[in-house]
Amino acid sequence: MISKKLANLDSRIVYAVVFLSILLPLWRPLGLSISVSDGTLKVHGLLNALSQDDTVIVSPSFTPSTEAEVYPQMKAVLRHLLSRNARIAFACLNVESQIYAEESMAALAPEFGYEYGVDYVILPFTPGMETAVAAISNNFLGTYPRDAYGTPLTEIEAVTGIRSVSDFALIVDFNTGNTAIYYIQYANPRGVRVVAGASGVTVPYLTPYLATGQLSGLIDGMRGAAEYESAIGYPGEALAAMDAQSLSHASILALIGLGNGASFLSKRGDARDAEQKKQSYGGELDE
Amino acid sequence: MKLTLASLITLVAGITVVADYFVAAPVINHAASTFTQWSVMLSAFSTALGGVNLLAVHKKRLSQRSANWGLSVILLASMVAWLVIGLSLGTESSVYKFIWDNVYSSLSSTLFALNAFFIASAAYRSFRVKGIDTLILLVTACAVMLGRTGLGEAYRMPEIADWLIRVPNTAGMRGITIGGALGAISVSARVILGLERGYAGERRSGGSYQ
Repeated sequence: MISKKLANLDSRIVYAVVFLSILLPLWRPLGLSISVSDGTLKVHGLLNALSQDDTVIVSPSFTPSTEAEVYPQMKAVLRHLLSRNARIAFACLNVESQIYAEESMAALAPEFGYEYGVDYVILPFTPGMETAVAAISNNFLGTYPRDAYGTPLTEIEAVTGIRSVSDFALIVDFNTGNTAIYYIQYANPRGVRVVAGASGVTVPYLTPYLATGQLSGLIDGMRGAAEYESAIGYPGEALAAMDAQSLSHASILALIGLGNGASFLSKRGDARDAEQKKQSYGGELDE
Repeated sequence: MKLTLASLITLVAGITVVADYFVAAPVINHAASTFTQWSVMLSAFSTALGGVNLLAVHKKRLSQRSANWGLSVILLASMVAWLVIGLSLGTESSVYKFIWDNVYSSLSSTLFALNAFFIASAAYRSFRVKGIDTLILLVTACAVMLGRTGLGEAYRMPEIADWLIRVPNTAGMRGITIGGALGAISVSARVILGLERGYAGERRSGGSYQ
């Protein structure tokens, strides 16, 4: 009977278990250590190899729904880029991108002495996703005659010497969709390396490009963000949230195990009951 | 006439952009670059058109007092309010940022976060071993999930999860990607050659094209 009750457990109990498994580690962190994966190390290595004259496109192509996973990746990578004194051009493929670019730089720029226009520039929102990336790759200055605030790009020191997408040292795309694939299709053939930070569900779509080398590095979900924070030696919000992710995953796995166990026992009980009934009916018939 | 003109524009634009990838001729490269610039403008225009369409659809629902017309009121009010605030005060204004942080961003994150609870409940009820297929699926899912946590470090789960994503997943995804690309090529070829003109408003009649 218990197995039957467990097999049909009230959803609210499941919700409570998941909720507590997220809440408790945020309240009392477990401090679980994590190793750094190959994909994250590749991104870290490429950023480490940048020189002061290099300009990098950072493309915050995610939305608030996956902010918790991807934004910590972007913050960790930006911290690394700023520590390398690289110049940055933010490409905005989403309407939300500009806000993420402004917000992250407002937090990081004072710490590293970065100045808008001199060290970084925010390019205006370009609609169309794939067509936008194609346009950026085909004709960078034609697509962006001005920055997001209306200043002609020719007057912005941060992109001095940039004539085409090939002049960039690297493209870092933070995405929850296909934008990294668009950069691979349109910008990578023009000689610029592409790395990505993606939400966990997007990663399986990007790994084929990682295997071929078209994608030079990949940061994978919340764990990837935590790995990057670990790699740059700056524990941030991702490492803090990793315990919650670890425990919530563990709780879901435990629930799956419990559900299977209960289902198995319930079915075995049903089979035993059916056998007993059959036997008792058989006995009555014999009498 | 309209269909012929649309087909002609598609033919010229399509062939030029495809040729740009293979041919290093300044005329073609410049033309292709111009076409891609135009496509960005078209995308911007279609976004605006989408906004106008949304307004028209919900205005109609409101005037007809259709089911859940109250939701249309909320949508229209939010849309207009945010548009006015964005245009008049700018996207950097404190009011715009307040709405962004406390309404849009919070609601989006919350809706997505609810997935964790629904997935947990669905997995508890449905993720049951019923045969060898489901057993493989269950073991793989558990390995990948554990590999994404700090709990599996001691058992080399991150390496196992990484292998699963890198090898079997990549093989499967490659097949899907190549299949999808072949489909996209054939559809594109049909569109460029004018055999598929649904985008221009042509309707199928009796299984054949008009």
